[in-house]
Formats: sequence, structure tokens, C-alpha cells
Amino acid sequence: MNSMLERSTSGRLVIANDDVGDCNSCGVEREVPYLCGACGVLTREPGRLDHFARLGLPRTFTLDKQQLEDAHLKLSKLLHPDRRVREGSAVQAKALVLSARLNEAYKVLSDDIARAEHLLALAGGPSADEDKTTPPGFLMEQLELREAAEEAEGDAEALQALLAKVKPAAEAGRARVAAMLTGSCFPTKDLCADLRVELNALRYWNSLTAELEEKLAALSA
Amino acid sequence: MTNDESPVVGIDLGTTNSLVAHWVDGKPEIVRNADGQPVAVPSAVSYLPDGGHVVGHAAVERAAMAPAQTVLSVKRLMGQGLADLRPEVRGHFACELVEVERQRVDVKVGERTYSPQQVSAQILAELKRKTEAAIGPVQDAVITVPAYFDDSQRQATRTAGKLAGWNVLRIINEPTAASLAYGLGDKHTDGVIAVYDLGGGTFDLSLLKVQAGTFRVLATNGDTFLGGDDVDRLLVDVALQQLREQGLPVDDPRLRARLRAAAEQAKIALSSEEQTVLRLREPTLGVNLELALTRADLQKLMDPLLDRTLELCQQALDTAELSVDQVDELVLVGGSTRTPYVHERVGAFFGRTPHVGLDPDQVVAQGAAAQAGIIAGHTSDLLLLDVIPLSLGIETYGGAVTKLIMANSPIPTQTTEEYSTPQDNVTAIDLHVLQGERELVKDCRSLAQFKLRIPPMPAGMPQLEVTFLVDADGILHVSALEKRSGAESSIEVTPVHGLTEEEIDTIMADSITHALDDVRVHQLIDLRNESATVIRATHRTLEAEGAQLKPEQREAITQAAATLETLCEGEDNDAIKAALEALNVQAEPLAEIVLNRVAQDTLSGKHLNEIEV
Repeated sequence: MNSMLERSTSGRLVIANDDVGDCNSCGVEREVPYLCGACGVLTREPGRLDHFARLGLPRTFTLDKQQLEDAHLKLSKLLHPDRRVREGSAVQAKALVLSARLNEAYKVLSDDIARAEHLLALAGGPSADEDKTTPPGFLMEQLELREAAEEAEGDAEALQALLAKVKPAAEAGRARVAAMLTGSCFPTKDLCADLRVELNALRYWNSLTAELEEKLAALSA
Repeated sequence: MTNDESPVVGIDLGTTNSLVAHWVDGKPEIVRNADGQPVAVPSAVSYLPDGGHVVGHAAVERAAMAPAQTVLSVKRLMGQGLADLRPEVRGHFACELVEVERQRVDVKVGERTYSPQQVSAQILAELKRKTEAAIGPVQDAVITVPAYFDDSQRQATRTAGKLAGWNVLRIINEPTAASLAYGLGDKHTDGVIAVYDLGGGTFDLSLLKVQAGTFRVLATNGDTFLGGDDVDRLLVDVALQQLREQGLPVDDPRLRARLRAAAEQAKIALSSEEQTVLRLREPTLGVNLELALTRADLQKLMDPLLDRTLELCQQALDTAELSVDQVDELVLVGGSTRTPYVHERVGAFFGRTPHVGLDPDQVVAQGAAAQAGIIAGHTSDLLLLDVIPLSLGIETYGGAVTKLIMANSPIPTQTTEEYSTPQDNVTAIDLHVLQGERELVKDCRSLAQFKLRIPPMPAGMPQLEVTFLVDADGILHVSALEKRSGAESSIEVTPVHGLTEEEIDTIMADSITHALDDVRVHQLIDLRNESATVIRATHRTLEAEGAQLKPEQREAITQAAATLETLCEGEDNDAIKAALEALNVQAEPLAEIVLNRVAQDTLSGKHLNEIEV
């Protein structure tokens, strides 16, 4: 487990601030380890940063969208290579890589499922390739729904009816994922395994939803 | 000007017209020549029989006389293979198009071929010459492209800039550039801006969020085959239809070139008048066209095009998860948006009056100059955060495409994938990178092949971490690390489109010849060719219809033709021009006869909506 993690009294995971430290150039306390917001100096990253640390945000599933946006914008402005023109090509190259990593982090954290997967990985849980377990009977159900989707091709009413079944199921899955990640038991081994199962199932639900919506869209085109 | 900042410019390389602005005294200004006129070059190049060329107005003028030697709208060919061009677009080109290796379409004039990069470079070189005449030496430029241009089209533009002698600082998107210009002009602009950019050949919509000097693109959408030229083309089709009904020849390239110009004039006239007449007289061919057009006729022609653009606007709003009333400002860009009807329909869709106060023709160049100022470090108040317009993916088994970087991702952006080998001792891994939203290779645009070289190892042993990085210019870089050995993998890139570095070097070594200033000699050759064609046509028509003329009329025409023929053996350009004009005047009765062959009152004054398009 990552030693940077510690639990606050509410049971939510936060990143320890003393790992970020003060800027060596100007002494101001930093929010992210690779950049000083005050004097702008770029430094080496301490190993591989997780996406939360990269954006200077607490490592939690529930995220304030506005806080994420603001953090991303503030850091983008400081990191963009165009802002480093006067500092030479080496610094610009570094800024380019850091910007790209920042945008990658922002992309992952903005999407609920991607964020959940990231937290699971940080907790040492299994990846989708390592553990493909789905709930009992789930795959059969998916197969039947897919067959129904094929038969409903071209039939707007039937497609709508299927969507009315699939969407709530996906929603319920998402709610379970959120609950697991905000509960105080995360990240025990059991909970990680359960979360993996939920996320695996969610992939199927999302792909089925997308397919149904695409078929419907094709009809109204 | 007291600054010692290095000069930088922004170039709007348009389908029909190109314009330059420079960064001076803390803001962008359109570059003007000694007469105070904007340095503008029509995006046209005309090739002369001896291998020289003319650019700009001279080329546009020559288009009517030598259409097969003149290239208009070369932007439509940039980064495109023959299969990529729509049939209507191909028909638009009077010059010969040939496909060469690496899916490039070259222009063929006589024995010589020119790549679109070279043709565009000639326009850019002319712009450089005029710019330097106005403001002194300058190397660094930002060049704009439609937001929806893909990687090949962007690379082609960058190559053209390089061939013309520019140091291309960046290729940026036209709507983004426009928003910068807008934001600079109006200090209290925080909010969401929609930029609707309808140019001669392309359409883009970009949604941006502006916050304290930072311009962030939220979503972008467009069509690189949709523009104002298409309206001209529809008008030309209507006129051709009428000519066909009169039994007149419609394939004459000079006639078509003149028709296109007349259609454009008619379209512009209808912006300020309720009705107009599209007139074209070519008496030696028997053409006496008078097509009455009303504003309503034009609007009916424009509706499908505008509908399509508004569909794309809605898609962009959906991508950005915004509703139409969350847009705070609407900015129109591009000459085609000058039409009042476009204002009306786009304004109605967004539920607001479009912002006025910016010249839709100049705003892109101004914004490009602003971005040049940012990149050169002349200003730190502004920042542009753009997105990649189209998804990037790689080919996987069975001809499918796996998306690596999604459309509308903020750039710079990167993603990392792990690969290994399926068999023992595999020393190279091939990655085929494509751009597009579809699921299959055949429906996406192939960008490049990357070959990663690795030392031989047992199957499954290599752990290749491949990073796909798109930089601030929207250009893809691929790097690979073999994790076990920690060695960086060498990568060979084979672009699918465009010119290789070698080809570029060769062209530069041959040195781009400058456009000709003295055109008199070539004008004489053109006039002689034109006269010969006209004389032949006159004799033909005279034979076919001349019997209905009075003897003195026939005599006058024959005389005029003979005078012209004699003058053509001399070198007096002005006299030849006058004799040509005289022949046309004498041949008018001939045209009247042709017109009378079909009942006059059913045709002249026939309205657009009665003719099947």
C-alpha cells in the first residue's frame, strides 16, 4: 500500500501534504510536487504521480466538478509550453510532457468510471485483464439482451423499451460503485474484489447502452 | 514602433483569399502596403507555358482565358488523395488532377506537375514578398487551417510554409484564431463564445470558454467540404441547365470559368438587392444568357447547406454538454457570412444577434498574429488551450480501429499503451495510426506507419511501452521504451500522405522561382490563344447559323475576324484586345439568332424555381 495515504477522521483517503513540500527556489508551500505555483519553477516528479496528486486534489471518489475544473485550468496556465518560451527549449520540452500528463489526469478524473478504476488500481486491486469475474448469471442476461437488441434493429419502440431496462441497471451499478468507494471499508481486499466485479459488469452495461443509442440515432437520421 | 521584439506574423491561408497580420505595439494589425491597402493575395496560381507562374490577381484574371493552367482553391487539395475528393469538388477544378504516390493529388499543367504543397507555397511566397516590402524582413509565422483539418492536411500546410521560406511557429485553427481576435478587441469577454466560420471551401464551429485571458476550446466540429463556393457551384449548375436547354455547348472551360465569376457576382449582388440578373455573353459561342434571380431563389439554394452547418453546431454543443442559451456570444467568420440570410439563420439558431464590429475577412489573420505574439513571448496576458479535432487510433486485428486519443481532447495530450510480441525473435512491431471517428480502418484516414525496432526476444517477453503524444501544434509524436532493458526503441515513421523530408529538401534546393512581375510577354501569348479560339468558334457558328443574317452583317463579322487574325501576328497587346472586343460586338446578331431558335418569352426571364436543378 502506498505510504502516502493516510485516513482522515471521516474515513476518507487523503494525500499527505508533507510529501509535496516547499519550493526549493522561493520557499513557498507547493500544491503539486512538480511545479511551484508562486515562482513557476518546474522540478522533477518524485516517481510516478497518481492523477489526484498531479492535480493537487484529495484522493477521493466524490469530486467537486468545479474544483477539478479550477485546478486543471490553473495548472494548465502554468504548465503550457507557450508560457515557457523565454526559458529555452529544454524547459519547454519538460512543460510539454507535464502538460500532456496533466491533461491525461484531468481526462481520467472527469469520468466516474475511469476515476473508479484509477482508485482501484491505486489500492492495489486487480485490473480488468487480471480478473474478469462478473456477477452470477450476468453474462447470460447480457447475451439475452444483446440478442433482443439485434432483433429490435429498425424498431424504435422495441429499442426504447430495451433502453428503459438497460439504463436503470447501469445507473444502479454506478451507484453501487460510488457507495463502495466512499464507504470507510475501502480498500480492503474483499471490497477491491467486489469493486472489480461491479466495474466489469458496468463495462457491459455501458457498451450495450451505447449500441442501443446508436441504433436509435440511426433511425432518426 | 519602439520595441525591439522580433517581428512575427499571422497568415490566413484561405481557400479564396490569403491575408497577413503582424504583432506590433502589443496587438495584431493587418499588414498594409504603401497605399494603405491590406496585403492580400487571392489564393490563385496560374502557370505559363514556359514554366513560370503568376500569383494572385494576375492569376485570377488569367483563369478566364487559361482555366486549365490556373489553380484556384488549392486548399481543397491539401492532404487529400483522389478518393478523398468529392465528385463536385473534382469537377470544380478546370486544371488536370493526377494522383501520385502516397495518396497525393498533384496538379498537371502541360508536362509539369505541382503538388498542392508547392502551389500553396507559391501563394505563401508571394505573401512573404509583399509583407517584407511593407514591414521589412520577417521569418516567423503562424499559419491557420480549418479546425477540422486532419493531421495530413495540417502537415501539408506546414510543408507549404516551409517551402515558401517561412519559419512556421505553429499551425492553429481558424475559429480559435478568430476568437482570440474577438477577445482582444473586447476586454469584458469572459464567458462561452461560439465561432461560426463559413469560408469559401470549409465550415467550422468552435465553442470556447474565455476566462481572464485564457481561451479554452471546449468542442469543435466541421466539414472540410462545405463552403461558400458550393453556393456558387449550384448557381452555375442552374445556368448550365438553361444553356443545355438552349442546345448550347456547356463544356467549354473558358465559358465555365466566366460563369463561375458571374455566379459569384450575382450572389454578392443579392446581399444588397432583392433581385439581380446573371448575365453572360459569349456571342462567338452563341451564348446570350440572362438568368433572373431573386433573393428568395438564392435562399432556397442555400438552405440545405445552412441546415447542414447548423446540424454540426448542434453536435458541437452536445459534445461540450452545453445548451444553446449557455452561449454568451456568437462570432461569425469568413466572407460567406456577409450574406444577410446567413446572419438571419445562424442568429435564429443561437437565439442571439451575431457580434458585429469585427471584419469577418480579417479576424482570422489578426488572431493568428496574436498567437504568434504569444509563442514569440511578446505577451504573457493571453493563452490559447486548443483541442485535437479528430480521434486518433491504431489498427488492430481484423481491420478495426482502437481509439487512443479522443476527439476534442485538450492538447498537449498523451496516452500510453503496452505491446509485446506474438512470436519468438520478432524484431519489429508495426503500428498503423489513423484519424477519424469510425470503427473500421477503411472508414478512417490513414496517417502514418510506425515501425518500432526491438532486440530479438522470446515471444511475450518484450514490454514495449509506447507513448502517443500530441503536442501543442496538434502533431503526433510516438516514442517507445522497452521496459525490461530500459532501452528507447528507435522508430521509423512513414507518412501516408504528403511529401517526405527528402522531397522537401529537393524542392527547396531547386529553389522556388518567384512569381513573374512582367506579364506582358505572357499576356501576348494568352491573347493570341484566346483570339485563335474565338475566331474558330465564330467561323463555326457562322457556318451553322449565318444564313439567317443579312449579307452586310456576315461581311462585318468576317472582316472583324480577319483584322484580329492579322493583328495577332504583331505584338500590340492593346490593339489585339480592342480587335477581340470589336469581333464580339459584330457577332452579337449571331447570338440573337441562336436565342430566337427557342421561343424567347419562355426563356428570358424564366425564374429559378421553374428550372429543375
